Amino acid sequence: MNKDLHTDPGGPQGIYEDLLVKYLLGETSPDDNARVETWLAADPANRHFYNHFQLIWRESRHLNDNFNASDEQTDAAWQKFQQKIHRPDRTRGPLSEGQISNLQAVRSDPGQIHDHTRAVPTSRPIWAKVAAAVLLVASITGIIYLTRNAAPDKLVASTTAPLTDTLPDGSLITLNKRSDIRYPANFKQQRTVHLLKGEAFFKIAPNKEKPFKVYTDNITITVLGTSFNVRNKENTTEIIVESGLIRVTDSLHDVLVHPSEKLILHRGDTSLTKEGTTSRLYQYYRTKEFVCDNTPLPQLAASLEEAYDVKIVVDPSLRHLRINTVFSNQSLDQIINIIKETFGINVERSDGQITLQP
Amino acid sequence: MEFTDATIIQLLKRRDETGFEQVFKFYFKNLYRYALTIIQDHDQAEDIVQNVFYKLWDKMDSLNLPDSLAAYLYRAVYNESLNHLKHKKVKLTYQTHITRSMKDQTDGAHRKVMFSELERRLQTAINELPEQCRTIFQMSRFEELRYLDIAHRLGISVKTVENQMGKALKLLRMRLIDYLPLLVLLLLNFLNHRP
Repeated sequence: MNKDLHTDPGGPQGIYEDLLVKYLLGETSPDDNARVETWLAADPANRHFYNHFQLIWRESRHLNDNFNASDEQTDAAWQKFQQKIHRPDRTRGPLSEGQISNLQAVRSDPGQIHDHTRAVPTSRPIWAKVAAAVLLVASITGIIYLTRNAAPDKLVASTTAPLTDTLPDGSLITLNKRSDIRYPANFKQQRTVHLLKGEAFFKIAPNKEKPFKVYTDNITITVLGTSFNVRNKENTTEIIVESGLIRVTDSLHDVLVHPSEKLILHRGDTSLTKEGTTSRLYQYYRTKEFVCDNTPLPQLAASLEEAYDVKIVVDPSLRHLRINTVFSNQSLDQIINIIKETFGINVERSDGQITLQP
Repeated sequence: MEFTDATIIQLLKRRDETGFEQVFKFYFKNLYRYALTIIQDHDQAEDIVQNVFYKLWDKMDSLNLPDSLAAYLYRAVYNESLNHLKHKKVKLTYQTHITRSMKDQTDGAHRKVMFSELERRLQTAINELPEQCRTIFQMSRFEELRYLDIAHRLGISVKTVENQMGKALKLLRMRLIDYLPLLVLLLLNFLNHRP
């Protein structure tokens, strides 16, 4: 069985596919990682082989993305199923009274109405009803237990405001609004975080034995003791490093990002851009400060839009304006007024939209 | 008290509809998606999943599950889907059908069209994986479950999941190997000629 692993002409030498796939999926131990990384570094052909796995894995991700059934569809399917099992010609299926009263007590969505008319009154003794009730509760608990017992991942999600949280290893994470991350229950053993959506700032607790990895749906960031910001919105990922060094990999690239560098990747595009940046405007959701350092007005407007959930339109004739200041804990109105005074421009407000014009 | 699949089956055998509803709703989405990836037909996919649950409900009294409920359900959906393809003799038109539905999804974007060929091949190759391999790949890739979760659900060891995932990627790569370098070329070519 293992023989053929080593005789595939283009296949890997001295390593098993199992291990490579484990590595690809972030299921490996630090020992495994070291083994795989040594193997990868040993021969460009090895990395080439691994890149195939990455490419297959990545490209299969979005196959059939539109194949997900909605909750409504699931409910409709269940109702259809119920009709099927309750057809009049069926002789069995009805619930006992005890089951129905219990059923109502434990149902989590009281909005749904059950067809009680099919319940046939029975003359079961009270102990049978109690037993039925106990079994029913036990069955539901059992299902809930089963679906949860496989060490569920932890989810941290922000809604309308940024959120700061400490991860089990002591690393600090700040989520911008409407951002979600997920990490495994055994996080201390396996320091991996999935940025499911949005933007987050990470300040990583150093631990050389256990590398810290951040995944977005198409890239992997390996942290070499550092703090950095990841923004994953609308097919574009932007990474800014504040301290230390990180390594970003996807199926085609493997790059290091240093402090004050910004890496930009677009999904479905093999190019990536690396630029120097000293702008600290992106930090606003963490620091509550808008740091403008020769910042173009449209860029500040974009950050304000995000922070305050408003639409800000900047007249084309004002797009060249640059601003130097720090807005700290000020209201949107105060900030807009300062911009207005600074540039001597006009501001027009109309239902949720702010227009800056000459 | 520990709850196992066996316990749940015991309870389901009492025809407890609420219990069954939980099971149905818990598995429906994933089984539906599984059937859909194989047969590419929304209505038929739902019918297949409905049938699998109907058989489970109907045969609950006599049902003997060798491994786990999830393993049974996934295997049943896989088999029913293949039977459907065989029965309806759509297997021959399957390829063209997928090509067409992939193209329909493309909204004309240049890159997407080039990728549709890879996607088609990928889809075919995935569906040609052996049953257990196919199920585990489905759970890992499309349901994004970790190895441990997959092992728990299917009542198998993590080692088996590792082996099957290794096998899956190995088989997929072998099926696609002639196409992978071309893909990289296409990508580079595309970038160089972009305005």
